[in-house]
Amino acid sequence: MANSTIKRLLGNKSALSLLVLSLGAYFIGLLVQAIQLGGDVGISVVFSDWSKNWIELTFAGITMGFLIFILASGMTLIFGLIGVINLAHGAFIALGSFICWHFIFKINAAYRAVETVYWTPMPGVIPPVEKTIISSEGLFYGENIFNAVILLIAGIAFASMILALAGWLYEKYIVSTVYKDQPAQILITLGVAVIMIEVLLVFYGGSTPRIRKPEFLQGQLTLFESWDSGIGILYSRILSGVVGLAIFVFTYLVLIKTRFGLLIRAGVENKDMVEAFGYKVKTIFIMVFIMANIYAAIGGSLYSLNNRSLSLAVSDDILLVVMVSVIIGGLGSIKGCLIGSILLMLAQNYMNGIYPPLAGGMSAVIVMIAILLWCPEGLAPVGGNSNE
Amino acid sequence: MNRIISGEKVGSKTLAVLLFGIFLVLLTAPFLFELIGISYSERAMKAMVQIMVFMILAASYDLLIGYTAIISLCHSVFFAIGAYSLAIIMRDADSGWSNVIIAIILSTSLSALLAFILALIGIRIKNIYFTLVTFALAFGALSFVVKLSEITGGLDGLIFEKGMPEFFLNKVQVFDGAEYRIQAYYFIFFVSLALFLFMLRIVSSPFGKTLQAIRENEFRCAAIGYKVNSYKILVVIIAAVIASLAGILYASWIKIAVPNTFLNIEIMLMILIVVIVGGKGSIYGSVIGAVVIVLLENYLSSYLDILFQSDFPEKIQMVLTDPFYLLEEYKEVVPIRFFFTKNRWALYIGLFYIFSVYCFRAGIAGKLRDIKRVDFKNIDNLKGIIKSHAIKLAHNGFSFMRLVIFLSALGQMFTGLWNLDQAGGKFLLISAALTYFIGSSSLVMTIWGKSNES
Repeated sequence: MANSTIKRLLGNKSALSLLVLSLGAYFIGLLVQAIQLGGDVGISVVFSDWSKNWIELTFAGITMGFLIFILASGMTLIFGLIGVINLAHGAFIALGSFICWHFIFKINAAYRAVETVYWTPMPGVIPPVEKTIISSEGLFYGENIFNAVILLIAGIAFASMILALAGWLYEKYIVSTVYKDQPAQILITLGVAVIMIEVLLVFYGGSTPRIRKPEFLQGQLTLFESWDSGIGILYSRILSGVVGLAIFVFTYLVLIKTRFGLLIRAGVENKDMVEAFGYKVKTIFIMVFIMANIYAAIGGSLYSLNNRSLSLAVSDDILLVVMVSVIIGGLGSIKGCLIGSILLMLAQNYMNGIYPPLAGGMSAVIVMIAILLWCPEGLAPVGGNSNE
Repeated sequence: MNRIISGEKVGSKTLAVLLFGIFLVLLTAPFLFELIGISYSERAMKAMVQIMVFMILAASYDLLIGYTAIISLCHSVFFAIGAYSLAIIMRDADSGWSNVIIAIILSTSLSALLAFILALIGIRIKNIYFTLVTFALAFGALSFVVKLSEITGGLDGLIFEKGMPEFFLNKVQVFDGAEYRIQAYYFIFFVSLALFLFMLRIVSSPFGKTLQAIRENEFRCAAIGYKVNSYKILVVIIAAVIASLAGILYASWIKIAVPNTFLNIEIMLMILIVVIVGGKGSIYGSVIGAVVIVLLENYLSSYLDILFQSDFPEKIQMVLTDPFYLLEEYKEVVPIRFFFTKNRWALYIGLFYIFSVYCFRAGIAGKLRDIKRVDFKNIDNLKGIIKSHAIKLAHNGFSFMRLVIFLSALGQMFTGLWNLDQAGGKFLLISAALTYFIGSSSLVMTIWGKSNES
């Protein structure tokens, strides 16, 4: 019984890689610190400290992984179903976060009492409206949790609406002209990304406005308070983890239970056959783009909330992470996408703990190459059985 | 002549004339500029060098995407390897040719090794996956260079003027006029000419024909008995080595190695767009593409600036945001005119990407070759061909116009949202919707429908 469980666990590539990565990082970290301190004293001190650090890093990595999953799931659907590399996804994420927070700032401006200017338009450009003021103090109206939650949800919903519209137009005018022509796809999607970033630059300037977290998301949840001042998890991280999990469950159910999901899955496997049965593949394509952009809006807003700032650099930084998690997850696979993004974020967090210069882009590329040489189809490809 | 170009046919008289003209201009550039009396001759010379470098860079990239259908997006990495190896060696060394040769050997062997590894990855990972992997690799290389700032200088890059041999720095007076770096220029000219002819030789050789066969049907090629994988590995290595040589040439002219000119994703895109505008699967196309794109990149922003200094932005702003002149007082607050500044030139590059995909999908060389097939004696046939071309042009033009209308509607929507709390905001939202629907549905769809009928 136990033997077969272990066998299944080892046979499962995703579980195995997660296990190897987390334990490996743990022991490497232990080793590094023990060597630095030296002796028996070092080891005993290091051990307790590192297990605490390790648990914190792991929690943070998993919640961040869920957040990245929100961003990456749209791309993996587009990629799997349509075979288009949507390099404008990063720009859509930036657009979503800017629209969401602009909406919140605008609505909240009517109620705010104290104004602190954090945000000045770029030098040399006269501000469009006489003064662009984004208030930090008293951002979320009052202490009322209910109002803050409603405002946050309204902002995200508004951004989702705009991005859904943008996704529809984007598919209709840009992407539909370049099916089956890969170099043209790369060129045109990156062209759209450049245009969107430039438009955002016109409206918002190059600076990075700060966002103050609403009252109910400030601070951290402390577990095991008796042990070494406890393990802290930020509330905003918990929120993004919960939302990510909800979106994963929702998408999974849509894909498994509904007719629309059935068509998407069939389209990933064999597009021509779906068309031959008389379904309008074109409509499914548009729906997938809309879905992807709504996820981009939700994820982008939460991502900027976690970073506590809005930034246009997000579009480039995120695009790499999103792309790598799509690749290592497997083409068009939602489950693989989740595994991939968690794996990536774990790797990034551990790398930050062990050796910071390699974190970020390099760790993502290293993880990607290692995993692709091991299983070139990704961890959980749609066609194959990941639990063989 | 036929032997020099290895029997690879140009395919169109117009194209041949254009190519010969470009060759003559590049050959006599310093003297020609002096005769014409061109202003900013430094800048013009830099543009000429850039044309030659991008010509061979795009041709080597075309070996991959045009001839073998290997779509890699980390070609700029090899370009950067050449530049950075020259820069790192030259930074501390005394001047001397031996250092240049060391840099050439180092960069070519390094890029050959990397290309070999890349090709091995490419055997295991196919198609769209490979493209994404190479894209991620290019990003990774960029962050690697930026983070290792002790060796590579980070975002500021490396300046290495001191270490270069005198040969590359000497200035010679031309016709008692301005001074040009003639020796360096002709060194670059002849090296890039040799590389170009070498690539023509590759393409017309049995090796090149096999590559094209692999592009058409890899499976059948393998079934006949060709070792497809070794062919692929070889072509990736050749392309990488040529790209790193191009990097050395360009770095020897501008004497600086920075991520912005060698490694950015914009540079990769520029290589890609040179290939696409010139025409995929044709080495000659990359010459035309390089000329068009480099001249656009160097001179577009200054001409746009002249345009933007006039009252053109105000007129455009009027047309885009308030076509019916209803909100006279409103024109001060909309930010449309901030689109029309020199700072926003990347916006126009992005628009050009979209435009070129809409209109030049087959590339200029491909278009010129199509025209060659026209039988000028048969007038009916000629009429038909002209008509079909006109219809195609109209179709593409109207698609592009619809895009512009859509963008203008988007602009109105944004300005409306931006000023939602002011009086005109809601009005602009409504007019955005109107513009979009009127523009796209009635006006353009009818014409588009007509062009589809015939």
